[in-house]
Amino acid sequence: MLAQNDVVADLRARLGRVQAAMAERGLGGLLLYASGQHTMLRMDQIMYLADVRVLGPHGVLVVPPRGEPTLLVTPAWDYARVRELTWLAAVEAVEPDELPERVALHASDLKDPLGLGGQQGMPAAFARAIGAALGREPRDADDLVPDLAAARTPVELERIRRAAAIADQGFQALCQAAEPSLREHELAAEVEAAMIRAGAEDNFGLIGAGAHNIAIRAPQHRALERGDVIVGEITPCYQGYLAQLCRTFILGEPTPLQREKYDLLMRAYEAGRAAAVPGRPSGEIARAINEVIGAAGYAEYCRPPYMRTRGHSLGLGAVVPYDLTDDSSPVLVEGMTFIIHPNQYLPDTGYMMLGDTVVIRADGPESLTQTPVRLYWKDA
Amino acid sequence: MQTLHTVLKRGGLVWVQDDVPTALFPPRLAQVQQAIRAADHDAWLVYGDAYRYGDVAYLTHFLPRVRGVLLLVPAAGEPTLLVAVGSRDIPAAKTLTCVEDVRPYTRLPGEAVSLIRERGLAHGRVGLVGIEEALAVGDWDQIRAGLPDVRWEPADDTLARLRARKDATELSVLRHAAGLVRDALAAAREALGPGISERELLAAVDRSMRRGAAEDARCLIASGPRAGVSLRPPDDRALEPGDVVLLHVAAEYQRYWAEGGQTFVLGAADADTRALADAARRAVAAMTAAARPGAPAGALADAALATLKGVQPLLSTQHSALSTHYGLAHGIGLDVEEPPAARPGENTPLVEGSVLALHVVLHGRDGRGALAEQTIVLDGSGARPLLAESAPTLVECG
Repeated sequence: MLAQNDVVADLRARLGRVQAAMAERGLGGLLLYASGQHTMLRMDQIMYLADVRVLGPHGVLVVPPRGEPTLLVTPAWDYARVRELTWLAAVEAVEPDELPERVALHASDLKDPLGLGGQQGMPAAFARAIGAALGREPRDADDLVPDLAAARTPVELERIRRAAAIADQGFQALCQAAEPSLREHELAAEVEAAMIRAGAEDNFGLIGAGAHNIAIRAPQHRALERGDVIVGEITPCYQGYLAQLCRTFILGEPTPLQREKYDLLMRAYEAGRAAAVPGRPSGEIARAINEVIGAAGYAEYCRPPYMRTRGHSLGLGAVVPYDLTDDSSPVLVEGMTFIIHPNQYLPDTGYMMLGDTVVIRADGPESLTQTPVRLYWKDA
Repeated sequence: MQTLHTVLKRGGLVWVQDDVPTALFPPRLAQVQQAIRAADHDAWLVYGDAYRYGDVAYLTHFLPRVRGVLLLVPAAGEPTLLVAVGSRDIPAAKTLTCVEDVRPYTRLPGEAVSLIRERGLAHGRVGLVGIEEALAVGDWDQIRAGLPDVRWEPADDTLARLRARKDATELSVLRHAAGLVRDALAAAREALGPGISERELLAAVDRSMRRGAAEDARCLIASGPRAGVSLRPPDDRALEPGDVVLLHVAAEYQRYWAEGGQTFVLGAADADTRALADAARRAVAAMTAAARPGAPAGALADAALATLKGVQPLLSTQHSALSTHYGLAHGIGLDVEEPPAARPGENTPLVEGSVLALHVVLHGRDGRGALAEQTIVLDGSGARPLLAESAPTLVECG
């Protein structure tokens, strides 16, 4: 467990890197936006520097070229929580319609050009309001912070490690709770509750079941049956950071065919891991996985619509290396965290899942999730 | 009430047609298409995301769980829904909506431009619902740039008026959601005790709602000293004997939201806490009495604030004004917060058939506080509670 001093030092170092990048780009200041919509699909740039998730609907961090940023959040009643969680001294909580003017006030001393990050999630009306309040057009700097966040800091890695441990507990709960007649959404509720008790504050969780799954999906009201293949994508969030575990669980003894095909996934997974070393493009992971599955006669199932990606970045939303596909080009560096998942639809068995969150080390990937790599099942 | 939004709506996701029959949707579409023609528009473009999906769900029953969806409603004929899934997931997506023409998108602007051109609307007048308020500015700018000859005009108000009045089916689904909230508060009472953390309490509440088929479940809490400060998402704080616990819970079932809350005390409540809880209860009762069709929404706030004057000395000094910052009342249905918001001076008239969530949160001195909530339905004569039985405002545990 990291001490609060270490956390603040880590956050100060991040701020230093961001301000250095601002200077390189000649920015007189930087506005970072986050809405109340938290997503795995984009990075929460405010969380990266302020260490607090905005309740919303809007939050803006005003980053000067030197010195500490000012955090402005909504709604007004959330001040005490934000004040307690962030290391930043300057915090304001206001109502949404007051926010543009407050941002403009805090940005008034910042010279042009002003950079803007996080606008992928900024609604049009808020963008117009903040533009009008500023009286100038900020320059697109949406990539500035994500480009600096490719490798995890010690604090980030510690949190992802905790999230990964919670994912392991979530899967244990799935194994214990799964039984015939339990409904899918009831099983999901048990997994969810176990992970909340373990410290999860959110979860990108999907649990589906059936004799022959087409893909992973949201839980439905269907009752589990003997022989069901349960696929789980479990992605708890701990202090803003996500880790993911993908596994397959059979309610009954696996058939020889299921065992054989899951062995194929495990071989593909190992091939993907072997390609996950610093200095190599992330696309090599996807190509290594596809080569193993393709060689077994399933090349057409390694493409859409059956398969989209062989993994993706994890941590604070989407950062480098983003999705792992055949043609993805980001070069792997030490400290990157992502999931490698050769999840696969096979016509013989249906969709099966396998995947772990890893951190890239000098000699290859280290698994952060600890659930052993195998096919899971229990007598039903 | 605003809560911390999740990265994914991850509860049971199905269309329970016994609760929300397909027959509900053709008349809604017909009404909207009539409004489109009356406005001399050629179509409406309706956007919704996991945060604000009510307009899209009203016409389609579709529930976006992560990324947004775009609905094109022509003045006549069938609508088209663009959803952010892969083509393999379209059959599953179609089980969640009455719309026949459901198409996948990877990049929304390009697909939207193509669709509008395909429908012969590249030179048309298109009404906008939820676009400015929710669609990302970059996406919207690209769509406009790709269709320079379209005349875009706001159309949000019409759909909001149609949605304000809840029919019998909607009331039934809202009651179901309210039942999930009631059961979750009962689960909280069961779980509450010294030593349990806020997070463990959340686990019990969340489990109750999700096992009851909630599509989404939310919770805010203020315990111990925080009861005198503000609500927040639960964390690891362990509850202690004598703690006041303010608990706000929200559940979504078949796209419809319900809210509720209670004040718990781990032990016997002291006189000030009782006074705060009584004031909160009376403020909710005053709002219920003031709620009638035609009355301005602000009348509810006036009624509540008049009741709360006497309790002002008990409120924590620095936070005395915050009881109104949560909002005292708002519409509720397909979105957790719908118009009108009951703020002082708000002149929007209340309409018959609307459903309002009332909540009074009081933060007192020395970790005291109280929270009272009620959901009401407006009929011809006034307001009645959505659920027949009312939960007590103050519950002493242990």
